[in-house]
Amino acid sequence: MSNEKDLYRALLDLKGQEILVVTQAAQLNLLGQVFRPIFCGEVSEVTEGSVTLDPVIIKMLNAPFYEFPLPLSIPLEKVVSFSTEVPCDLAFPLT
Amino acid sequence: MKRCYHVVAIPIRIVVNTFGDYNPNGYMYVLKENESKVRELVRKNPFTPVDLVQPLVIRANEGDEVEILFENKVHFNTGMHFQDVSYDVQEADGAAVGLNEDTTVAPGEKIVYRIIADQEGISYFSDLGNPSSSEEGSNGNGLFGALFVQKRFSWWTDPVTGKTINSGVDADIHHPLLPSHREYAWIFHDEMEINDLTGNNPVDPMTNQETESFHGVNYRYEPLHRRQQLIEEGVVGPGTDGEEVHHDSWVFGDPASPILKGYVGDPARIQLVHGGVKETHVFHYHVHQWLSDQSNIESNIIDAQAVSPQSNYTIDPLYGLGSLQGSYGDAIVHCHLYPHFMVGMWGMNRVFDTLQDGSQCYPNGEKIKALQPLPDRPAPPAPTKERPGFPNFIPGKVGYKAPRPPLGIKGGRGLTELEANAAVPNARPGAVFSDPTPPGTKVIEFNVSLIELPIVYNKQGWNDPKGRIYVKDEDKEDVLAGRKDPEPLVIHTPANVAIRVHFTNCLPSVLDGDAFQLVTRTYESGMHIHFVKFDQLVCDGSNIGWNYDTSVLPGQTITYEYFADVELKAWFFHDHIFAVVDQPHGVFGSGVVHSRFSSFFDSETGETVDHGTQISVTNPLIPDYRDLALFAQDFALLFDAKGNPIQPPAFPGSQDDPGVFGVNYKNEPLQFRLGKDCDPAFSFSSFEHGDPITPILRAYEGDPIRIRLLQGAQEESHSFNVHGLKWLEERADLDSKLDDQRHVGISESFTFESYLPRSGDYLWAFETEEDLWNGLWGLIRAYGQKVPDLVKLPDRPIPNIPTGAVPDVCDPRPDAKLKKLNPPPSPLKTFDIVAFQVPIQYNSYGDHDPYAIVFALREDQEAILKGKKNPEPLVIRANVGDTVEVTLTSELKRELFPFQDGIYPYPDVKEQACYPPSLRISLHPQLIDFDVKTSSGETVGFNGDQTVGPGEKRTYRWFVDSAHGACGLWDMADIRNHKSQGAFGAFIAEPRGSTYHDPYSLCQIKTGARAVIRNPFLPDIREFVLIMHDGVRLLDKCDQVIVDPVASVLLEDEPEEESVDTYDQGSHAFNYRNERLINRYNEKPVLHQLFSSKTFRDPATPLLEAYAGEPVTIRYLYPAERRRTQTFHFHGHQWRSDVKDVDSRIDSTIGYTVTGKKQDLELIGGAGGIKRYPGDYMYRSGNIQWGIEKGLWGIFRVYEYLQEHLPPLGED
Amino acid sequence: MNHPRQQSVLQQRDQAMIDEFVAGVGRRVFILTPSFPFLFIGKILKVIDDIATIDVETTSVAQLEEKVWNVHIHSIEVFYIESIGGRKIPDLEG
Repeated sequence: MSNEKDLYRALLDLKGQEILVVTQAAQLNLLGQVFRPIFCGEVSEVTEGSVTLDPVIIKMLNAPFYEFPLPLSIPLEKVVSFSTEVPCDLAFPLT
Repeated sequence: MKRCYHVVAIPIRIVVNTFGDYNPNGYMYVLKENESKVRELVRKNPFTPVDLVQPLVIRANEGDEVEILFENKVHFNTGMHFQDVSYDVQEADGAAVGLNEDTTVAPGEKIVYRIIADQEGISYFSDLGNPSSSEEGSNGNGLFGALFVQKRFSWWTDPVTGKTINSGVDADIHHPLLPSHREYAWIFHDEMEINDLTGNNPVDPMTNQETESFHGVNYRYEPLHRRQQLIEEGVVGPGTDGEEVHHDSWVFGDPASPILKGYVGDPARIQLVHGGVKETHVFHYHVHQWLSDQSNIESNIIDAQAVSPQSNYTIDPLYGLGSLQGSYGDAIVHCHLYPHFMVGMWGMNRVFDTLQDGSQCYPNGEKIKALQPLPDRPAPPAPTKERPGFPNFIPGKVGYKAPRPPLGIKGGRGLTELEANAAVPNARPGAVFSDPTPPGTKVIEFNVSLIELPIVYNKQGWNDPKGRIYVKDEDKEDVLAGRKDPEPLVIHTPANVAIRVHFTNCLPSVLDGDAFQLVTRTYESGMHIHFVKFDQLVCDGSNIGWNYDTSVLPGQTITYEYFADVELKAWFFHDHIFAVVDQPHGVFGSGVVHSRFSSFFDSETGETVDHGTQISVTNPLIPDYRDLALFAQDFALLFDAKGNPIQPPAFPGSQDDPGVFGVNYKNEPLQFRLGKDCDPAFSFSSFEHGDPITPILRAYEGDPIRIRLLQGAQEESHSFNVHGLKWLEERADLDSKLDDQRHVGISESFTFESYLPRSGDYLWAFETEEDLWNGLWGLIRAYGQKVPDLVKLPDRPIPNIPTGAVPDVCDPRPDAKLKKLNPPPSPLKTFDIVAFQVPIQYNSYGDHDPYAIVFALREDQEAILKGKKNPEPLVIRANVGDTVEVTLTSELKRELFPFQDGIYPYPDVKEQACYPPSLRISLHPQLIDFDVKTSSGETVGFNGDQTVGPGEKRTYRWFVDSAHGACGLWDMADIRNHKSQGAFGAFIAEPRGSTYHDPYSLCQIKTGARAVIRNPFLPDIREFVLIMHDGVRLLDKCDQVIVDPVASVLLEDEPEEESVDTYDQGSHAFNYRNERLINRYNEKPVLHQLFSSKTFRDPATPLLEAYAGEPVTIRYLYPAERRRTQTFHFHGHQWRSDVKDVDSRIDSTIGYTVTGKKQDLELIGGAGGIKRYPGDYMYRSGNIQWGIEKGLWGIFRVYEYLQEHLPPLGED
Repeated sequence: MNHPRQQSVLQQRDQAMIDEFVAGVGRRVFILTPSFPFLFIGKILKVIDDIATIDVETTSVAQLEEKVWNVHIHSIEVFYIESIGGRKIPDLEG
């Protein structure tokens, strides 16, 4: 990432690019469907507090390329790791 | 804290019910303080059950040191072997294993056992001094019990008196910080010898034949045949037939079997223990649900639990007694295997809504014993004249069938005054005395009928002329007219709705007799549901205890109401009134609860549906998916196209395994799928034979899928396997392990979530040999391109991989071509494997298989053929991230097969037919990743051929995607003639960076069941691969066939000419070795020293060796091949039941192991357990009957001192 | 040891999250939390300190819906606040 003095600006530079983001929770539960919080998508909005991906894929165990019907905003404090070098269509083990 | 118990083993007459049935040769453990009282009471009451004659249950707290002074007063050596606690194996094993001292005691002698109760749970104890399964054995006659370990700081009292107690099946448990709860022991057992009052084997008055063997709970059983006698003799129940009032207390009074008592909302715990010797039972408890793993809140919620001999489970009903809806009444608790249920394996949980102080009576005048309220809960209201409480407001007549419920039946009656006082404010049909449905909940209504019609099961015309099935009223005409194919009714709803069913009984009131069944007057039926929330008094679809009879007569309609809260799974329903006779004909179905806001459509047309075994589901927030429900059936009472019964029993009404099998009322037996070349290798291929008639789940590549696995009928275990897919064992817990196999027993229900990673045909199968042979298999078809009549899932794209035209039956079967990868994958492991026949010596007594088939590395073949190496199943290993290429060659020779037509006089399977052995071979791996079109090992559906013929080579490509640990490997070219002969092995998926070493030389190895696994980031471990298998045809040293199991039974002077069920036939082994106890007994008839290496020698089974404290992982597998499940037990050690989940329950047994089962056991504390005690630890089957005797045991030797031949871990 | 600059980064982010929810008052929001009941869909009514008060239309269990919940903003794992002209969170009936 260029402009590395400031994460906010660094993320702004990533607008329009794909990133893979993993957040803190062990798992999330949406109407009984559980999944690890692994998201991959295009950076559409950045604030000092969060980054929004749109469109975004949730890498569910049983649907690893599921495109979520809404954009998802991720609080920066919940981000554990992210990478710009993992393409969203890459298949990899999730266990 | 130290607790002391003085326990005595005594012979005792056990009277098992009020009809005077008894075991003259019973044995029990009893506290010394009760010994003379028990003997005296039994002497005075030779024909009535004595309360104190019950399995011994003692208690301690977690962390306690428990000292047992054990005294033996029976006439052979006995002991107490404890499971799931820590002890010094040389001093307290209760057995004489290997080089250990003998810790059984002779008659008249005593011993002190010291154990530490490490964690909360159940410690089962039993005798190993007399491992015979005959009538002279100890376990079968009642010599077992349990220690229930409570949380620290607990104490316990008698539920009737409130005083402290030292033993007893029921107790109230108290704690300074946690809620008090009821604790009930529920100890199943089977096969006990029973005489009737005349001293003879009991006879069933309906069939005039000997009854089924004893199946009971806590030394009691309440059989249908005894109660039926009272009806036959006109004593009670005028106008009734029998099964419909089997559990009815209005007719007969309460049963002798356990009644667990409590008040609505009481926290409760049922300690489910299997003290039996042979069968896997299914524990089912009406109205309530619980977590399958008490220590894991994310585990599956269930209401039926399969339990195998010597295993146990803790069952905490969610929300307390009466569940979320606060329902009260009699909730039956029983083994769901119908023949066992029928013969008396049931009891009740009686939930009172009013205070019982001992002054009240049941409607028949019997006193209601006092029940102390739990001290930290408000007591229920005292009974009054206006509100007498259950059961005294129910308008029944003693001696007659229970009354029907108020309000529920169309055109039926309203409430009496007493009923109105007891009713909830919003009383309505289906919900009168408790209201399961929160206000404002959406209600979905279904009109369901039960009808009778002939059902054709397969293309050869096997049929059930009296199929009985549930249908939606709207479909009735179409189904009866043949316009719609009959299938089990599966209704679909989203979560958080109320389901109202208007059920109409459209059955004829007589079920005609035939070769299978006696004529039965099935004049009423209902819908009993599992799992959802309902008012048990008016909605259970059954007739239990003092409840109403909630079924209806022909032509009548009753309304049931259920609330499906949140758990997403399939719930089972069936008739509970004439289940033994009706259910084999198809009387079962399911409701599936999906995520909220889901909607359902037909996969072919896209039209909205609300029922169907195969549908598609869409949801605005979660991924859409395909849904398939599969119901396994046995006791399918079918006739062939000419009207001849298929596999009829010895007499009509016999419960001895009649009939064949089905899945969703269909089967596709392999005997009809031999093509022109007569080669079994192509039996699953749709080229030439067409697709099977059994369910095919159709989807597009990439579609998520959910499979609902259920068993509709009737008694036996089945093993469901899917080739090429896997799912989380605990669906809601991402930390749980992945699996591709599941044992299922009657009434259990599982949901598997997965998705289809690649196009192709995936085989699903109930994969025990007899099930598969008789047609229990089908396909999951993932299309790689659009096809007509398969609507896409709305949130998924249609794949567009041009795969050419969709294959046709008439096309020639292609060869599955493996594309070369350029550049070649890295890292890559290759194996050159050859399959060939060679005799195998199973033990030092000369038991052998002259016709075994083995897989081996080519480099090892010569040594094996020359006899320099006694063959073991092939075990290969690779690491996560490895691509594995296996090149397989067949060197099978026709003349080395014992039966050229594939028909075996022994061991038998049902409906044997010509199936000449294939010379082709293949290898199918479990769990790891591969393309089903090239590398699954079977030639299935429209996939190309993946088997290899003599002289040919084939390469499979697999990818190790995760550290799955133990994965089975087996042949799929000929499921009749190869697998029981040894055509299986194991693949171990190890963590990244691991290397594998011979434990003796420490050199790196390519194969081997024993290894030291080294890894830069993980501890070195000793790994032992134990492969349990069965169905083996062995010859003894005189080349006579060993007719197991009968040939292996100890102390059977005159082995009966009994016919053994097909799935019990054949010998068992670990890694092609067994140590049959009868061989040892014939050498030296010392029962209690049969496991001793001092008296004999080390057994032929694998000797596992380690130093105390070393990390040890056992890779346990069961690839082949019969339907009888075994329990695997390991003395003195425990492991996490889910190796991937630190929160999972701690076990020392693996239950219901059957074809396809595998488990990784990471021994807690390492070799020797937490306390690192050196010594010899037995690993064995938990099945006293036809398990251990057959030779299923071995030794794990834990050394204290350095042994020259065994380098310790950590040494180079 | 809390480095002064790290401390202010944390505070900045936390404050920025609060600001997003303040700016979203009156709009519908979709929230996932790791803790039960896992899901909230509703209208943001107000924000006090780091707590967002939400009029919840939908959550995982019907009995907890149509009620006002106060959600700790810093416990939210992922979320989406509707914006004018942006995608609408679906209305979930039944």
